[in-house]
Amino acid sequence: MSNSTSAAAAIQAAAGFGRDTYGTLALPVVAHRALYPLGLVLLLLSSCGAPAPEGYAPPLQRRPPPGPEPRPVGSFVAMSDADADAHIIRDVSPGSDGSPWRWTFQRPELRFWVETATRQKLVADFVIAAATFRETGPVTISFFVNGRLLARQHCPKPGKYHLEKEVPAAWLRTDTFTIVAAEADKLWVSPADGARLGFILSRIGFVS
Amino acid sequence: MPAPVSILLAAGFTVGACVAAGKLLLAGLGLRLARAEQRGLAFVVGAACWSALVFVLAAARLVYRNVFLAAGVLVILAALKWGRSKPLPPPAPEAPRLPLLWKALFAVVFGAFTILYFFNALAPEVSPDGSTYHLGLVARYLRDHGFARITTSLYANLSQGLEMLFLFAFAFGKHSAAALVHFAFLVTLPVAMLAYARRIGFPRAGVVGALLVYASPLVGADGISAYNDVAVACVLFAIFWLLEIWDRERQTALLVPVGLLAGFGYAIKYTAFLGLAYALGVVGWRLWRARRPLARPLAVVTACALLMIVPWVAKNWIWLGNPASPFFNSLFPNPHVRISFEQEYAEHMRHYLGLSSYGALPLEATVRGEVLHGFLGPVFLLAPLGLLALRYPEGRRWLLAAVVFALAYPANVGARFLIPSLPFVSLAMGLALLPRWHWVAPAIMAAHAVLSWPAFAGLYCGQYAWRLRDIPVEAALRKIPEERFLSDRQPRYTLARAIERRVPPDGKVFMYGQTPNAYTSRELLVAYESAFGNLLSDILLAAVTLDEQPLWELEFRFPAQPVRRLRVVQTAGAGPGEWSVREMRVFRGQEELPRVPRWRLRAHPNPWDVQLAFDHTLVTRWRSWQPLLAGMYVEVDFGAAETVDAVRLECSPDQGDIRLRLEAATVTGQWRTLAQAYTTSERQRPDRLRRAAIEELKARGVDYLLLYDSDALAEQFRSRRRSWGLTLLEQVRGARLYRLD
Repeated sequence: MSNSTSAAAAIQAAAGFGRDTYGTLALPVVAHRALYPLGLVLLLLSSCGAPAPEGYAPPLQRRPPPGPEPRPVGSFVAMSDADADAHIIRDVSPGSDGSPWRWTFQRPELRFWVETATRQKLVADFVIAAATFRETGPVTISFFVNGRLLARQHCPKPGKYHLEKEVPAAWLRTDTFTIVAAEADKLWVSPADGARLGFILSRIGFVS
Repeated sequence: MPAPVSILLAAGFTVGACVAAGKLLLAGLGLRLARAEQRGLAFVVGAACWSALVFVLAAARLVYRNVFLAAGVLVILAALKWGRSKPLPPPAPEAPRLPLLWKALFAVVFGAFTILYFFNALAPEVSPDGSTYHLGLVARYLRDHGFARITTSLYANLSQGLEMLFLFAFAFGKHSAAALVHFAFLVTLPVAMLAYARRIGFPRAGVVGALLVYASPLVGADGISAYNDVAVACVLFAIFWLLEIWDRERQTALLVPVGLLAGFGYAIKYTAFLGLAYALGVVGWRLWRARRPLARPLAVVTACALLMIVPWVAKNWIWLGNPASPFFNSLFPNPHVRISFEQEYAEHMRHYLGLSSYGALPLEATVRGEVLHGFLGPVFLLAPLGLLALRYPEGRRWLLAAVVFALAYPANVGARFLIPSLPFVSLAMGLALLPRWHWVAPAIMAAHAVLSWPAFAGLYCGQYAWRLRDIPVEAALRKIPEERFLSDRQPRYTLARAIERRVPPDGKVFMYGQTPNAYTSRELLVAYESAFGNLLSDILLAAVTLDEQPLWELEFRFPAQPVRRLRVVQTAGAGPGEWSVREMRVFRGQEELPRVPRWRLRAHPNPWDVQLAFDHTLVTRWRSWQPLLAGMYVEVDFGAAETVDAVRLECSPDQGDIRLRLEAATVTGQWRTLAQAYTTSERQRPDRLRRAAIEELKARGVDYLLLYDSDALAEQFRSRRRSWGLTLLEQVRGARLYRLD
């Protein structure tokens, strides 16, 4: 007998094939006999799960992190900063990785946290793009601190601008965010998709 | 060697090993089969055997290319030797031939879709699940040279019979080779259907049925990916086919492959356990009707099935304490998958997001395809026509099989879960149409083929429906770099690569949404995938919610007395919501008892997390992780009598409708109620909870965080990065990767 034939015979013999008898149990008997082991298995199953120890000892006791709560944002931000997004509330374009400038839209708003209200100056560096200037002509940008108009910067030609203006102490708070907004009197409107662009922002915030 | 060639060789080697194993088994059993049956069945039956062998190698941690190579070569040589020396017994008479026109119809449609599918399968793998967990786990097994105990992904707990074949192919040809293995099942299914239909004398119904299935957009998209639904359908059809042959010829040895395939079905996907139920039902019913003894045949089917099932059951039971993980966690409580998660997950699977009502199912599953993640094709709106096949005995058997294999569908209404029934519905549609309207059938087939072709399917299906979009020949032949194709087609691929660049090899990244972990070797911990992920998510959420909500202090006061054990028991009856305790403190006078090592802490349910209520931080908590039940408790055993007069629980307000009672046991162990009433007050949260949460993650070995902009907490991390203590490492395609400082 060859190996394959004997293997076949072995499989058939193990399965009870190769003869015409199937066994002698009828269905009801099978069901009856199967009931007890089945019940036992179910009982075992229902009592099983992952084991847990008798009890756990108290764990290592945690200590609160040292130091005061860090401010969520700083008092000044450059658009290339890793956390620039944290300062932006609205109407500033999302930055690509490490980009030093971003477009502003209708009314850009940013938030800052100042540690002291006295002798703070609002500083902003921005650019009027030649491409938008061709359409808008000279523009005036108004800067607001907590909703109050602080300064108007007239921009008669394209190029870089620097704003620096002292902020009255009464306008600032040290226990919550200070909101800075800007508004250009004229926006460039894209003929392609209707996008409305203001100016290009590089840095903004408070310095004392 | 050019990449496409090595991929094809790897897939071919895997399929060859399966065919060889199948041929050896079928020959060993001495079965008499028609040539077409031999071919189709040898692959499917052999796949079952080969999957089991790879399981054994993975369990023995012998997953090495050389071991696979030796095993594959050996089995192929054995099959070649056996084939030459001992030819099979003469096959059964061949079935009637198909008319030429029908042959041409089959060849054209089958050929066109095979080209479409082949190039898509050969192209880099971009499918959502394939590039995440199906191949992510396979890649990990290859790196680890076998199974490792994975408790942080529920997907690792599912049976992975097909992934064993993917693993074999992946070892030689990576992702696309695995997808091509599934493609082999996709091609086998219609061929098997046609061979079966020819054997029973309905070749034209076979052509209709085979092409309806094969050209279905969802079957194609699934079958060319590293998924498993088409393989399940193929295995279930093979079970049906073998049982039909057994019923006609009563070759009792056929019950061995029937049992193996029934077990293999379960090994591929839990829901395919219905194959075993069907096989036992058919064998039992036929023998009972024939007044033949049935115990031994049923035992053979069961035993062979168990050979394939038990390894997966045992793996889960030993490693996770739940043989059916991630399901049945109420029956098998364990610390790896939460009962409440399972309930929410099951609910989600029954009602997909966006599904307005069950009445919308037919249109979603056949035409739109957005909500149910794929569509079968509009022609299947005519599926009720298949009921006309009830007038034939064959039609009745097909429809019975379709119903049985669809029984699990209500548990997951995704369109993919209809695929196992599809071959039988399709055959029934073919049979119903042919006798009276034989001219309609080719028209319907042609319409189905046209409507399923990518260029036309896009005209009617939902914009985001899962489907094939083109024939990516250049990508398949690697004329377009893999990197570029993957970046274009799998938006999250670039994230996986960013993780690979930025995170060290032993780094762990926590995230809320899946990321293609088949393309990174770093460990990705997804919030919903495990109890551990749930815990990490709960810790981070605590820092946010406690900032916005008050902290509750529930205080029991009672006359000072010595007690050995204290237990706070939840007494409200079953109800929605959970019970949780952030800290449990015990007092004597104004002094809190220091927690000392001799104390023993216990809780029910979820005993594994009780330490979280005694770790002196509010960002962690013990949670019941299941709906309220009377009798839940948190207990402290002092190890000796302690005089105490107050117990305080610090809790979040997000509790179910709880009622609590304080019980105490003396040194004699006798329990009594100490206090039924407690005061509730609110207090301010302490500072720096965000940082405390991050430190908890770090204490658990997690040093990186990936957040998609669409994640609920994304803005929290973006705007409060300093409070958390995070460094932004990379911002890619709507997601941010942070390092925990």
